[in-house]
Amino acid sequence: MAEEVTSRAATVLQTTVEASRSVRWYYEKVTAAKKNNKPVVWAFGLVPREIWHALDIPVVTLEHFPLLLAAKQLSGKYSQVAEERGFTRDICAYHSCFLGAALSDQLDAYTEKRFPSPDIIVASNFPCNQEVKTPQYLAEHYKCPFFYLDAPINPWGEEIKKHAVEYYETNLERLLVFLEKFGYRPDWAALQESVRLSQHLLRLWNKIVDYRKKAPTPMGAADGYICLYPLFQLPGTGIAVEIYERLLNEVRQRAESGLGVVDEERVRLIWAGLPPAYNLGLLNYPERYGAVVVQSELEWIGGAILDPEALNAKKPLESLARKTLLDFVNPTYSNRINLWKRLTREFKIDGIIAVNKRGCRNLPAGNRLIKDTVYQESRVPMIIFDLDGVDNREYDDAQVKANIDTFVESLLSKKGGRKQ
Amino acid sequence: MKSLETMRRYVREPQLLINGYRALGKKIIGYRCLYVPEEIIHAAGMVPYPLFGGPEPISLADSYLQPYICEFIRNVFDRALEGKLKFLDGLVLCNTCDAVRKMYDHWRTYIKTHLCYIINNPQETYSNHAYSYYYIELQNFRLEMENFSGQKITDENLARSISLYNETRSLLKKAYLLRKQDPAALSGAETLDMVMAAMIMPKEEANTLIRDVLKEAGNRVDRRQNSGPRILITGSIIDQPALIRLVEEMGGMVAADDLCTTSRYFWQEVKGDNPMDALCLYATQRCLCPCMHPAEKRLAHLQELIREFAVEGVIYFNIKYCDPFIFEGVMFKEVLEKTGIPVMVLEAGHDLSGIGQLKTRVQAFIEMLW
Amino acid sequence: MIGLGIDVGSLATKALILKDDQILAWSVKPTDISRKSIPAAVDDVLKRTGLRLNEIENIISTGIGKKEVSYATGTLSEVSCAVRGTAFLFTGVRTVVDIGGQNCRAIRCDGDGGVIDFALNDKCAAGTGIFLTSMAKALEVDIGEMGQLSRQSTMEVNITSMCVVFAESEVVTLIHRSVPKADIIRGLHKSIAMRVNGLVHSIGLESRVAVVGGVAKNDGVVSCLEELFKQKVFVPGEPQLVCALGAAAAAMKRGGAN
Repeated sequence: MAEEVTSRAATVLQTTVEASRSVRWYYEKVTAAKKNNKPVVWAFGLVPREIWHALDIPVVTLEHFPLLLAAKQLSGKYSQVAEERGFTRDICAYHSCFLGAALSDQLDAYTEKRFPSPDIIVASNFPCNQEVKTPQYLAEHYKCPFFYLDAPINPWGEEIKKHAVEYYETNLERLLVFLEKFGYRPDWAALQESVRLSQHLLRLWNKIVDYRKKAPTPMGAADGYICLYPLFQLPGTGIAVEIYERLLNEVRQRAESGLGVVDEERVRLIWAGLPPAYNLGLLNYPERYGAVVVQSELEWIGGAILDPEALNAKKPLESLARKTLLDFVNPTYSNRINLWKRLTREFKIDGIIAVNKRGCRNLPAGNRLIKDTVYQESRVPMIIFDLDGVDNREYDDAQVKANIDTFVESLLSKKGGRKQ
Repeated sequence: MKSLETMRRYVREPQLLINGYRALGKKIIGYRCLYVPEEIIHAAGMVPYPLFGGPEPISLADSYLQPYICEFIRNVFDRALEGKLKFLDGLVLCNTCDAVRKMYDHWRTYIKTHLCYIINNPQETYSNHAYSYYYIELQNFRLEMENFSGQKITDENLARSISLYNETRSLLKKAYLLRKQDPAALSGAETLDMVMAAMIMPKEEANTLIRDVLKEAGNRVDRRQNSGPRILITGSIIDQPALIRLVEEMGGMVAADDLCTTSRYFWQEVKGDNPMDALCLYATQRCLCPCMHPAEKRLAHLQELIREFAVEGVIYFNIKYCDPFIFEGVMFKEVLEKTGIPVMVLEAGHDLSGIGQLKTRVQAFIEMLW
Repeated sequence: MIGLGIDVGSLATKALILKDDQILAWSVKPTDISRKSIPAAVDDVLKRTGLRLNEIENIISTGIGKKEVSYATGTLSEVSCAVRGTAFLFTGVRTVVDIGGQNCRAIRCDGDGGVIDFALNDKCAAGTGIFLTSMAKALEVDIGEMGQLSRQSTMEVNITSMCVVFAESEVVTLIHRSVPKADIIRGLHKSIAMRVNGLVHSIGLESRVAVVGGVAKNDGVVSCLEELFKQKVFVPGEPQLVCALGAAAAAMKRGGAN
């Protein structure tokens, strides 16, 4: 059986195509802004996206751009460039890829078109140490104004302490003051509108998620990964809301007519950690066994676990502080553990596929904790193996698929489907 | 030197100290890392005890924390899983590197001491906002320590603890400054032993011993004339002298070091009339490690050390997967080399087991500086 | 019923034929890039039994190269095969540790061929056959002798590096310090065992443990594991054949995904 080693995601929804177009739309917008001499921001760490969109600031984020390159099989090539500059291969591939593209003397045409040089660099230490190191280096390299946005950690989970929220809120205010120097006036009405749109987006998202809990699921992780873009990168924009309104309609219709991702959904899985951006087809791989990856954990990034009603457009910065600090990728795991308890309960899943990204010091270290917690609560098993979602050089297709085969096989036999 | 010998023995056999603390009925609170205010724990009648790694290979911890995370923290956590840290009544962590922060949930879930607390210190220093935020965190921590020890922390007690710890700091600094001379009365490896001992010992006893070290060092007859190149070692935690010793054996003179087991521990003192204000100021006006901001403060500090100790070359030590220093190493190497200071980045496991491999590189670096 | 099991591993390809619960023959050939080891092992095992391929009702392949066996009637994962193979040999085993060339797996099972939970090693080579192979090279000893040599060890040596590169340099340093090879080897065995122990504990160690896979041939590693597990373990006479045996057993009973 001849198989391409990497393949694109096989998606089932019409709206996924629109979500995918919104990526292109946004990068074109940024490139056009650069041409019109608008200062471009490079942002590292989970700085609330709503701020960029409210003030109409063109931004390239660390959390998205490398994924775009990985999808074009370019990530490893640029990581290599960073390694030649003295960074070890052990650092996060998001960072080495971004660094490599930024330091490269010669960009390929695809990257060139989407990667305007920075006029301002903003970095936050949320969620990990590396988030601030790359931008410090690049700010020095580009002789660029640099702003550091300090975020406290959140060991308290949903009961986050007021002083921590206020501290982050103050730092967001300082960011606004900093941005004003480049002609980006803080526009409070626009910020409020952005938070309102973001809240609306979250409400829509939650409704979509509710439909996905049904069996068979009307939307799997392959569509989910691509449809994540508006939620993660465009919250606070009208376009994101429009796409999600259509997405909700489509998912509702599919759910009501009982349309699933595969003909017979025998096993339901959730993906923990980052799926391989250079080989999203892997999310479809278990489908040959009637196993569907219903969702990936990544789809909750950017504060999607927050109850939308906790956002208050009248207090935009406080709302954004809560949305950020409650994100499940926080350096301590309370929020992530709560998320997983909820996912296993509500999605009626049979198993979890968890991947360790080698350069990441954040999520992989929590996988064992999730495995034990979930198993204790609901006896749902989890397989953990190495897979870097960004660096395509390390991908071992046969091994990865063998791991998935093994896991699904054991789940099926547990269900009594195949035990002789 | 007798005093130094005593201190070295405590580092090798910390059980001697632990037995002593136990005999006094003291609670022992393990901590990582230098942003944990020891004085508050001490003022509550407990013992703040910095955790170091051990010589044994890691076994169980690898299945909890993936092997691609700092080997030092995996080693500490492995010791806890193996029951080697049972003498601890609690653990206090702070908001520094990812590996340290990861230990919080793992410790709460799998080790289960009576106390596991993380101080949510800001990572931005020299900022007024950070100061007022940290003040609340410090107050909360003080309350937590009072509750856990069952002992009220009065301002008087706190002030006394601060002055005791300040004395240790200033004595250690005096001993550290001996290396400005050539020949130096203390070697880099000896200094490391001395500081690590002082970190885990009762401070009264440590202070007496460091005073003795200072006296004995003045009359030292076995001083080695060391005209080798003057080297500064900085980077990830070093909790055993193998690397420093290697540099010294290869003819280098470890004139200064910027490590969390040496100068970072004592370089500044806690100053101010109100003890809480003083502690707050101390933590927020000190940019100790690359987890903290702004990076310029750390660079300036390193450059000051380089000037004061007439440093000719810098060795930048990274424990594998220690991101903050991996990045800082690349960054500062470029900056320092522009100012004519050669920098060599060395990477190894926490236990320095790959040190044989490093030997040739260290030797070549020292020869280059001659 | 006749079943053929083929285990295409990263270092060796194994073929085994079972007939009515009796092992008829087996063959082991080193795996090569062009996958010639598959026909070589299969031809060999057929020759030994006098059977022809079309006389065998079911053929199940397993191992990292399982999809390369075009004529297999089904495939099964290494985890299932290790458990089934072990269940064929020993009764009531609840933990199977499979240490192969590039992989190490700890499996918790129901004692009757069913898998409950399992954990895999990461990409790092520590705790696998390749680790031992490269250390044997550094020590200039034959890999087959390592178990025996380690029994002469009189002194405790710790090899703390798990990274092959660092461990190799550590070994070289020890050689220069004239530490006896026997002690170094014992240290290496202990370090592998500790790594494997960590993996086993991540799924929970139960009583009745079997150690299978090529590395189980090294009784030095096995004895270190027994020390850490605080119990005797079961080791088959030909531990590297257990997966092929499990595949053959499943084939005999018509199992596997088509």
